[in-house]
Amino acid sequence: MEHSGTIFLLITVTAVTVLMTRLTGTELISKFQVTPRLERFLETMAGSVVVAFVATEIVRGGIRTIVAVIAAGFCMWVSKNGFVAMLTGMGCAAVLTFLFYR
Amino acid sequence: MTIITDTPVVILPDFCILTIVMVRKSNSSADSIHQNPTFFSRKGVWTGIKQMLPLGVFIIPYGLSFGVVALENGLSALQAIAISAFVFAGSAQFAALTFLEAPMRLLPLALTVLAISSRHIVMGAALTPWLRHLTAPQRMMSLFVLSDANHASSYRAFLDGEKDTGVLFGGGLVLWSTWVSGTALGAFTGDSFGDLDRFGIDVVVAAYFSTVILGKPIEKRMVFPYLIAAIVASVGWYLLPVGWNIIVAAVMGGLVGVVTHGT
Repeated sequence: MEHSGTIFLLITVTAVTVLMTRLTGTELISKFQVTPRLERFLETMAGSVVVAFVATEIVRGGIRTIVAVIAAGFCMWVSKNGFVAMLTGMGCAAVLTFLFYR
Repeated sequence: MTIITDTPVVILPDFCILTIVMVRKSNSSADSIHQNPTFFSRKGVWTGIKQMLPLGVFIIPYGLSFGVVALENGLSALQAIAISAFVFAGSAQFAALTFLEAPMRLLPLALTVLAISSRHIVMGAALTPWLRHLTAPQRMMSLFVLSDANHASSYRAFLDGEKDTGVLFGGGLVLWSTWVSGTALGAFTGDSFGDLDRFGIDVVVAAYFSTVILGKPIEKRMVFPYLIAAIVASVGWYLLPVGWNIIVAAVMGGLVGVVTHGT
């Protein structure tokens, strides 16, 4: 029950925050000037948060995650197919598990 | 006098699209909108559905991955479907799952989701002249399903002088349906695979974000801010409370991007 409450909170906070960003653009931005500096900040911040996630997952996950990230990234770079790239990353991690973590 | 704004709009992560679009609005386009206000019709919705169907099919595997990962992180099938239905944002959802570790920290969760979804603000702003003539429910309905792909097609329609804004909602409806269906498929079948970590499911979040970053060539001006963000996030993991390393890294990356712009 306590776990369900936590998940309910997680869904609510995430949903409300994302909805707010979707509505803010038209509802508020028309009243304020979006300066080029603010645009630059939002643009770089949105990319940086993704990079920060990958870095954190690597620090948390160790060698399997590093291999998966490199494999998925390389596959994405070559194929431009995100799903195939994700499968490749998972596959590399699965092979490492099979070989070294059984 | 043709250009009144020249605004970079970020179309980022969700479904592995990483693009910078230069938005240009012309006086003639703005005048035209005032003389002939835009509207919302079923025909437009249907056009949007037909436009986005081919892409929508490719969203299902991503939704499936999310469903399986959500299950692995302790969500029930219904909870996984609920988060996809109410949030409908791949990157934000994958990110949110990493905050499930007890005790859950709500402020870092909210700030991280805000940072990762901030591109919606710019996307919505770009469509403001097109959507301002709609009723509040029509506008909110359309913005609820605002995503990278239907924003791109709708913005193109806006620039081409299209008056029927239903295409934004129609396209979003397809993306939302396929994302939720994919999640349901993953959530209901995930259990039958047993221990999913042996299939590498525990690295899906990292792999997903890796594909988001490399979906397009990284612009030169982004390399330094990203490097700083990676270093801050890594060091911050050891020094800061859970989640705060991501927020500090994102803000640092954003600030470095502003400071180094044009250097």
